[in-house]
Amino acid sequence: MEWAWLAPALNFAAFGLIVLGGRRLPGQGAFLAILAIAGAFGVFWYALADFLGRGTGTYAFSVTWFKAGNVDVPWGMVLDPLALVMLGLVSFIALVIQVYSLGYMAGEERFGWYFAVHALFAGAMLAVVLADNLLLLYVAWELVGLGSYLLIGFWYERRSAAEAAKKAFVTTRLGDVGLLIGILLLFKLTGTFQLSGVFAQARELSTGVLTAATLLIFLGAMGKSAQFPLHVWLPDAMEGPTPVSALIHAATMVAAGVYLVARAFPLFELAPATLVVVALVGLVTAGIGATLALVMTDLKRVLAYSTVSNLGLMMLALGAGSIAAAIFHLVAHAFSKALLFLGAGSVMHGAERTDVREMGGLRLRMPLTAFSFAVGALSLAGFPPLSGFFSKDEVLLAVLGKGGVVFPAILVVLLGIVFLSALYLARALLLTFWGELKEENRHAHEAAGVMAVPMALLAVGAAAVGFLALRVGSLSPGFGAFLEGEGHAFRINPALTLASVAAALGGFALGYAVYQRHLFSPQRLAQRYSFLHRLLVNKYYVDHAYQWGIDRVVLAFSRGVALFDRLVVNDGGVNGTADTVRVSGLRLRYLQSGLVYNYALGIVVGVVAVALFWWLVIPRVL
Amino acid sequence: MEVLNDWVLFLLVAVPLGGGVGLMFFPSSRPELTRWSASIVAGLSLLLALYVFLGYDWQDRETPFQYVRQFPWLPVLGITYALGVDGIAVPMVLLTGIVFFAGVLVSWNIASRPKDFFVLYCLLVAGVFGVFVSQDLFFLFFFYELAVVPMYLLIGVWGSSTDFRTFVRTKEYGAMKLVLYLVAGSALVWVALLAVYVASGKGSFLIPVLGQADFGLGFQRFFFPLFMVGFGILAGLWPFHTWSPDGHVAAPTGVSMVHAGVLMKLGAFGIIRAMEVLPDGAQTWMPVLIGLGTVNVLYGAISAMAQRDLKYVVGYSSVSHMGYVLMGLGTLNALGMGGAVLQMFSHGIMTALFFALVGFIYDRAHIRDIGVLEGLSKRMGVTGAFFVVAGLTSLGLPGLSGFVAEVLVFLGTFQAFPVLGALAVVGAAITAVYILRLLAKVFHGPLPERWAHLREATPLELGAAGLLVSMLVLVGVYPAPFMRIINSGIEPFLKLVAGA
Repeated sequence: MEWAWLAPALNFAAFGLIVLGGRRLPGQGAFLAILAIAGAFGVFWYALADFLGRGTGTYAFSVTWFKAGNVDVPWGMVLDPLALVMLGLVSFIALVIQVYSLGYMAGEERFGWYFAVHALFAGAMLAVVLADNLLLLYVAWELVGLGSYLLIGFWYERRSAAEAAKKAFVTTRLGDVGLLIGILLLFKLTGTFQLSGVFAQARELSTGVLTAATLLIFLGAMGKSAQFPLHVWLPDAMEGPTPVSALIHAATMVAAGVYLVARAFPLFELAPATLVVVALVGLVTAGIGATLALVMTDLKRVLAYSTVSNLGLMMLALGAGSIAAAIFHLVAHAFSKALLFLGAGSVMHGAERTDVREMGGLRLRMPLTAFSFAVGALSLAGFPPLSGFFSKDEVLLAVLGKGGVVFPAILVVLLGIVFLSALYLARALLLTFWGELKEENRHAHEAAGVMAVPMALLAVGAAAVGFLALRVGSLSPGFGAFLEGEGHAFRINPALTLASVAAALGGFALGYAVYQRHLFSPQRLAQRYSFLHRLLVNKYYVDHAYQWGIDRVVLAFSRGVALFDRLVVNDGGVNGTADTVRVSGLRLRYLQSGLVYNYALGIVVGVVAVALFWWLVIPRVL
Repeated sequence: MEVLNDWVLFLLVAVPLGGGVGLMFFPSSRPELTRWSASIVAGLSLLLALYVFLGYDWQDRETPFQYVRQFPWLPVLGITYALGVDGIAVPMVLLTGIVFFAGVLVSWNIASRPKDFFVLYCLLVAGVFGVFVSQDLFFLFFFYELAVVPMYLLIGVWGSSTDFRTFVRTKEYGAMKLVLYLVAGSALVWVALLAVYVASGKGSFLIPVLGQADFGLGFQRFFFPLFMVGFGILAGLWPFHTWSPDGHVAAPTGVSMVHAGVLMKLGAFGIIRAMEVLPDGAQTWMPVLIGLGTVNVLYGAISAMAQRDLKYVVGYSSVSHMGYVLMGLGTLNALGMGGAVLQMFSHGIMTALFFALVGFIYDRAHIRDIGVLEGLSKRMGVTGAFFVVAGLTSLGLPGLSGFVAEVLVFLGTFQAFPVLGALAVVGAAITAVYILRLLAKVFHGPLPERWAHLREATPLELGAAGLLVSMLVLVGVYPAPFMRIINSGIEPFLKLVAGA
């Protein structure tokens, strides 16, 4: 499918046209962005048909971007099952969210700019997905970062939005340092940026070098996919418009890191130590996200930490060696999470609130939103037969299948996380939509059609994409087999499934008992374990630690260097030299007294000195 | 066209030089006339520079130097007014043309003694063009000095003094330090120049002739550092960089643009030409140059993070970015050198843009303190947007010119010195920190009452800045035409210097 490059190119073109066309375009050019992403979705279907028609195989093409010396820097696209899945996911989610934004962002002053950056963001993500070489991947990767910066900071007049945008860009850039060094290292070792070329030569490289390179690449993935300790930007990223959160949390940005590891998996496979690191970082992230989601009071923040937790699960699956499980969970999570965020946006739009403590009973005013939010929550919590149930099971199976000492132990923790996920989702759902409708929320209203239809579409996806895992006769081989080949068809382990469903039901039941039936008070619990509660409310003090590090270490050090530059290098070294010259001049000018006998004295002293030197010093030295 | 090919380089120097001299005879009472004449001179120079750029035949590997013209000047000593550009000089010529033109437009409303300002401005640029098109070391040096003298007056007369509470920087101090520093550098270069001339025994100052001479290894090792440090001072080589930030703080906008945009490139360009003359010396000293370049990158970036004055931030960021140029030169491989030359172009445009934008703000707010400026994008939206583009170029965002240049320098450095290459990447991340902090602080956030009266920059100013922005995007998205020309200059250069 040689035309795959159209998918990102259309979106970049839309960005350029809207920026140049500005307000002269009808509707500020929003239709261009939507046409472009719809075009990308069309490319997906065409490519899929083409792909299935021709059977399996990989299609690629490449052009030279520029040459430096004898090194060609290429722009190329590759279309394999992994890229195809992501192409479909990204373009569909982005399309749905853009349509929703038509309603959500109506009346905004920079309406056109919003859609322009949306197109840039989606285009960059599509380019990440399709890139066939590491340098193009990095280029697109950074543009994804730019898109997030511009979208999170869309309302830049708000101090909090400007700070959040900065935080997201800086944090992910820290990870990108690793990614770029990893790419440079691989280029030095293999002499190519081409992924296929690097993979082909990887077996000849030593494990040590590969471990270093993969760890560096993983650092980049940690930044974008919000893995501990680089997760801090994601919860703040909700400062952007809510549809942007939906996009960032579902299909673009955070998905990029998981995709990168999956894409570079042939390298990771050869570095077992890195895989253990990936798994552990994923586990820690999953745990942190799940526990923090329990105590957040802002609806979007609950969802944000839930994303952190689920990204951890995806990384864990990758660490356990299963691309299929990770990507399947990525897809299922994308539908559910986009749906949940659009629901949250609908609540903000209709009820103008974000704090779950001020809501309740909203299902009476916004039934469609409540229904679709419930579908998203139940799916993500892993209720059979919704999509999250299938994907979570795959992750658990991947961990179980890995064996060894570490992974079975992880499995126990994982079941705890499943329990917590169900609990916090129940809390968010029940506090927002169930219970009493408060007096001040009586004016809340359901979303308009342009916002409701996207939510309905996503709800169908969140409910049903799980079935893609199953083999359907000759029509579909099932998700895992499509992605990784025949050995990875859908399996089920009854005991494990039972355990995970029990954990999910247990979590939900507990949530129901606490937040609906009020059988006991969470406040009392928080008071009794106030230390633990403080730890959670303060987000494990990770943000505090960063702030301390920036203020006390980074800025202090840079002030020190700047002061050194002014006082030592400049005032000491430069002005000092000048002063020395000036002072010597001032002193030495007394020698030029203009009095002849002074000069005569000088001559005499000089002659005597030279003579003494001649007679006394020189013979002894020589 | 044949005729123009023969004379284009001559005109490139003669137009601003003649323009500057001609302007002297204009009546001081008619500032409008001088402004228009200066912009015509600048526009003409830009067209000539474009002609050189577009007409350069990058496929002709036999004759790297094109548009060659030689006028014997002092045959007894073998001094020739020899003009010619290779693939390294061509982008520099274009850069100078663009920055000159944008600089004149930005300086349109200079209030005090506009005629004298434009006279000196033209002379300054004539000197810069002269360095880039000279094939003769004597004239290269001559033009180099020609550029320094107007600089002193431009800063000393039209500059501004600033009280930073804990210390004061007067315009006289900035101007004097700049000139003394550059003259000290010239002294080193002059010594090395004469030594090379005498030791070659060729009786010529022509760079290609001197490059053929057989200098001993000891000679090369001794004299190359004089060139390296002498020219390096102008390129902001650590620890001889402090003239640069202080010079910027004192200089008026248009002069800062030429100063950081073009003048600092003269230093790097001088080092390249010296490498052609003393290749073995260059081989010996390159690790030192890479090392110092790395210090430049990190030290400049870390210092920039602590600055509160917009011009100091951009000034130290120039020190940092010139470090990439020095590192690239030190790699002596095609990737790094290509990156260095592209970075010279890219940084020249970017930093000229930075200073232009800072000037717009300073003209209106009369302050450059980051701690006080806030939320300016609300009133100066286009200026703010352009500043974001310049900032993103600075932090190496793909799609803008800085990325292509820097990634090539990283690749080149990584081949030889992986640790320094990795440190350079870290430097780019530090740049992201201070640039994004600055953007968030100065342009974003709520607009305080104090700045509610600010107005957007004039269409003329925005046009000048827009020209620079479009270059950053063009090179970032489609670097191939630039890299083709640069490669055609690097290839013979490396054959000569590194024997590759």
